[in-house]
Amino acid sequence: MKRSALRPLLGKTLAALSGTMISGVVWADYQFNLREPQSALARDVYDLHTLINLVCLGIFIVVFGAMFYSIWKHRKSAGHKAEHFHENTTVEIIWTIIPFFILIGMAYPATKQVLAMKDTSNPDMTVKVTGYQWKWEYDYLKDDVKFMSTLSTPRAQIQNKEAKGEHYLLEVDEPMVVPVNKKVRVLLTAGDVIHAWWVPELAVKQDAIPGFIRDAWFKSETTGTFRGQCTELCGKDHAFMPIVVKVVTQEEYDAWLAAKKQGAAMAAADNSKTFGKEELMAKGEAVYNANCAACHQANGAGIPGAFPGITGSAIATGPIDAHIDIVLNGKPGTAMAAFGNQLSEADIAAVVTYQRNGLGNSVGDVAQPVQVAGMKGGAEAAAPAGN
Amino acid sequence: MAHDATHAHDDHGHAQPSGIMRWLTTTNHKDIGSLYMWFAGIMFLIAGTMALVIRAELFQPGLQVVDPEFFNQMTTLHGLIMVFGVIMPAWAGFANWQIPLMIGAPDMAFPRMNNWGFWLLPVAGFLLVLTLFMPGGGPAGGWTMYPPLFIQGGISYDLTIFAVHILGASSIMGSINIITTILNMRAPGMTMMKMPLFVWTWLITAYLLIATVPVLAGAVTMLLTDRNFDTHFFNAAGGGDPVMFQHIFWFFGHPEVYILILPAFGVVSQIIPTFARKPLFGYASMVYATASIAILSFIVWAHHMFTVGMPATAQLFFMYSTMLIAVPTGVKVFNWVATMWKGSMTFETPMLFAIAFVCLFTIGGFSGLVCAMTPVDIQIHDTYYVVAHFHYVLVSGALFAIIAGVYYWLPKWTGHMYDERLGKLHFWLSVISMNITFFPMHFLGLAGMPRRYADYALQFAEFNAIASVGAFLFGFSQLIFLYLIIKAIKGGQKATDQVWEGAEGLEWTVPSPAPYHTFETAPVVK
Amino acid sequence: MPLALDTSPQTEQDRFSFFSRPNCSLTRTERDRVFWGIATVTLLVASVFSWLGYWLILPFAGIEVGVLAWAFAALGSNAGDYESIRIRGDEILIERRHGGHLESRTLNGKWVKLVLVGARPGGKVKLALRSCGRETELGAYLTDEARLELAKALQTRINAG
Ligand code: HEM
Ligand SMILES: [Cu+2]
Ligand SMILES: [Cu+2]
Repeated sequence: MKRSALRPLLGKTLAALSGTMISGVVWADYQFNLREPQSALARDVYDLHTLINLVCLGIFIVVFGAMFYSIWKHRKSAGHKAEHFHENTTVEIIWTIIPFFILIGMAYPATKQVLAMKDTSNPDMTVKVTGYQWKWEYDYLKDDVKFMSTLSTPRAQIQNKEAKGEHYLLEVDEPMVVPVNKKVRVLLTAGDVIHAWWVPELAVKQDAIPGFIRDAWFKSETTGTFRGQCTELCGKDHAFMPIVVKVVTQEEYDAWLAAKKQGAAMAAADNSKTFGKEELMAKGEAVYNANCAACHQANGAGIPGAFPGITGSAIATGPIDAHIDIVLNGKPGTAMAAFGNQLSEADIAAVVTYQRNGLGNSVGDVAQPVQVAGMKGGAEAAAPAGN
Repeated sequence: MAHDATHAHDDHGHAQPSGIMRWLTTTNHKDIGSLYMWFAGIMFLIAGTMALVIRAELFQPGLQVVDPEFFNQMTTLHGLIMVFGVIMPAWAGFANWQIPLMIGAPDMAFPRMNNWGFWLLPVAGFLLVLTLFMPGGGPAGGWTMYPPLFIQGGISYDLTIFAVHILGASSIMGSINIITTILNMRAPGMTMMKMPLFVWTWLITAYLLIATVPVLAGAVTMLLTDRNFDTHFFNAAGGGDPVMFQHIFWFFGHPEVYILILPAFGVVSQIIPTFARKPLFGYASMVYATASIAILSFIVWAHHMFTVGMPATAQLFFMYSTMLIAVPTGVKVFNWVATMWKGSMTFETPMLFAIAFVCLFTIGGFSGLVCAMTPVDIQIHDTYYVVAHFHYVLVSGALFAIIAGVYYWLPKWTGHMYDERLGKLHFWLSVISMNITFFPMHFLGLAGMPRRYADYALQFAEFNAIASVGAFLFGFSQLIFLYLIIKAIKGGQKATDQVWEGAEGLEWTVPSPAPYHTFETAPVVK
Repeated sequence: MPLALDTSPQTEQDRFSFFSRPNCSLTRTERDRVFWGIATVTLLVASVFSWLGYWLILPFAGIEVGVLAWAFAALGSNAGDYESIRIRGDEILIERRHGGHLESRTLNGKWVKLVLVGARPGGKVKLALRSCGRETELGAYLTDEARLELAKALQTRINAG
């Protein structure tokens, strides 16, 4: 309660102060403190932070009050003569012990919260979240719903060619959707490098580590859209892979899930279809821009020295199997990811076709979903078990 | 007589090389100390420029100045160079100049090794800058070099690892020299508990280096073999454990941050008593506090890793041990304040910087404490809050102490007083702009802006703009410092041997600058 | 305190006597203890990491402990060094022990020239006696300041002769 009273006041004063100093700056929705908590745990963390700050403030005032008093009173220019004491065991013991007890006082609530955060038992639902360079994949384990979530802010806004929208860099094409008041357990891992999944309002942050699965949980008490960002340096577009969690009522969630399942069934059907070249090229361009353009660039030129170009590349203009293979399995030790477990077969067929016949290439052949599926199956069969 | 002396000099001048060779071959602790300082100064300008590139990009949301890949190269190199190429060499410079003077030793214990130790540094510095001109540009994986990201990069990543090896070798040579000098070359009567605090803090710092540098060297070597020789220490794709790299890195890394700050504690403990005209309060407890901080620094490393998903017991252990460090740190601050208490203070530039150090370093200590609380750290880890924290302890901490120390001993080193008016101007500009730059970063971090971001959401725009303005102000203020130093080297008011009224210690009993001018009255006798 | 030079005659015949040795503030046992203390921790840490499978730390720890061992051994080897200067009548006796090697020289005070080279800033002060075209450097174990004091003291004694 004291929190909510204090915050706007502080905000207003500082805004007024700075407003008079710097004219022309719009003081939109900047803030000084942690974001408004939306779960019990987040509220505890908020209060713990407030508590430590007050303790620190108290100590600061006492210690530096004494120091500045001394600076004022005990200066040579005021005629003060130096005394010559240089130790006092009692005082020294006291100021060693008092901080010690203050720390114990702070460790107590902190310990309780650590234990609470670590308690991922008995979740109402579990979602597996996988970090990729530079997007997130959400896999609703029990419900067979799985999708990629990528930044939806247009590049033009980032390049300052368009006005920036309200949720600049904090918006995605497909948010994670969860029901309100349910304990959601997230399983985190990554496909390439380490990322970190963070939603400030829900006080959940966990590194996503390739080769390992870690878990965390949250339980939102209100509906709404909460936005976070990746917090572990993961390469070039680290700043461009936000996290958006939409907390909805149970009914809305159920409806969303049903729609998703239907969409998944349609996508699965695509995997056994045979497409015409036009269709593949159109779909391929969309897939390319969402997944490949970050490195290989929208025009296929790549970034010399860092990322190879697609235009005229030996692989994109060579045998089609090798081309499909690198997209499916990636190139270990580089930023080229294995897209086999991120994209559907239809998507891969489309993007391969687009790379061979667009971006300045004109090989002429096309890839079909079944062909990709065949290579995927083959690779899995050939790989030693338990890999 | 004077004429004869010159003559004698000419006769034997050929024994000592001159020009560039003199500096390449010198084994004199004062020469080497100056070399370290100049190296640190030059690298400071380079890494500082990188910081300004970062702040220019972050002045407004959107990408304006650089692309994200180059931005990451800037943050990586800025961090690596500031830590290994600026702060550490600057402290080594102080050690070389001051330790022999303060303990009454003729030179360092191993002058030849001292020379090698220094000359490795420019090689490493050159390599680090060279990476920017390699195909694909410089390393962009962060100064912490976490795999698997650091395994992805090109040739410049290998060069970076090589540079870190060289820096490590240099640190080891320097530390062995410092430890042996302090332990074995103290003048008769200079017992351990009479040593100036600066000497004590460097003794402990040198030990921390010796204990942790092999760990860093091993860690980056394993990165190198993972990158090039198909080993799988940290590479998850081959069954390695990327988190183990973080454990190993921070086992080095946390003691490393104390390597950067302990000598600062030493310098401030020399300066405050001088200008308070009162002996240091609690000398013995200062020594014990330094030692406890050093010991504790070995068991807190995983506070940098609260979000990797350690078991609760591990999180609690590292939280408690980290909180414990605040106790000896507090003792130091209390002792400094008690030293000022009932003194007779004057406020020359070194004292101003020392007071700012005490005050602002403590703010960094408080934010450290906030970071130590695991649940809170999970919110602010890898955000601008952490950036604010470590810049308060490193800029207003380590760097301000370096600046204070330079002002304090410059008259002894050059024989001339610096310009006090400009010194004060430098102080006020630095202290104000430093706070304008870094204080808003606390707010940014709390409100949710992650670190190492080339672009950010709109609600972070105001504080980023303020921080960028502060950063440019801070950067350009440092040119005053450079000007002051060059001016004092060239000439100025002659410094007395004592220099400061309240100064105590062996270094103030020798002439300023140490032996140079005595040469003019050198006796040549028949 | 430690800078004050004691040049008072040690025996009846001496007009001047000065004895100096390197500062050796670490005794042999202390030296061993410090070395083993540091080496143990370094090797222990490296061993633990090796045991966990991260063995590439061990070679670096090994090299470091090697250099450390060399450094501490080198400290020991010059523990018995000294330099003594005595003026007896017209004669100047210089005796020097360095790493077990004893060297002595007697100069005629009438044919001796004191050479003092104040170095450039940061350089080292050089003090030597020149006689018969040969120079003998003095004050190897002294700081620059002490060497200057020694030069002054020597100058007055030689002059007095
Ligand atoms: C009371 C003393 C201190 C405490 C309790 C403390 C605590 C912490 C904690 C918990 C973190 C991790 C924050 C995070 O990444 O989430 C941290 C980061 C850091 N601290 Fe401190 N700290 C203290 C003093 C210092 C000092 C004296 C220095 C250096 C002079 C320092 C330098 C750093 C640096 C460089 C980082 C960030 C490293 C990185 O991730 O790049 N700290 N500190
Ligand atoms: Cu990231
Ligand atoms: Cu730390």
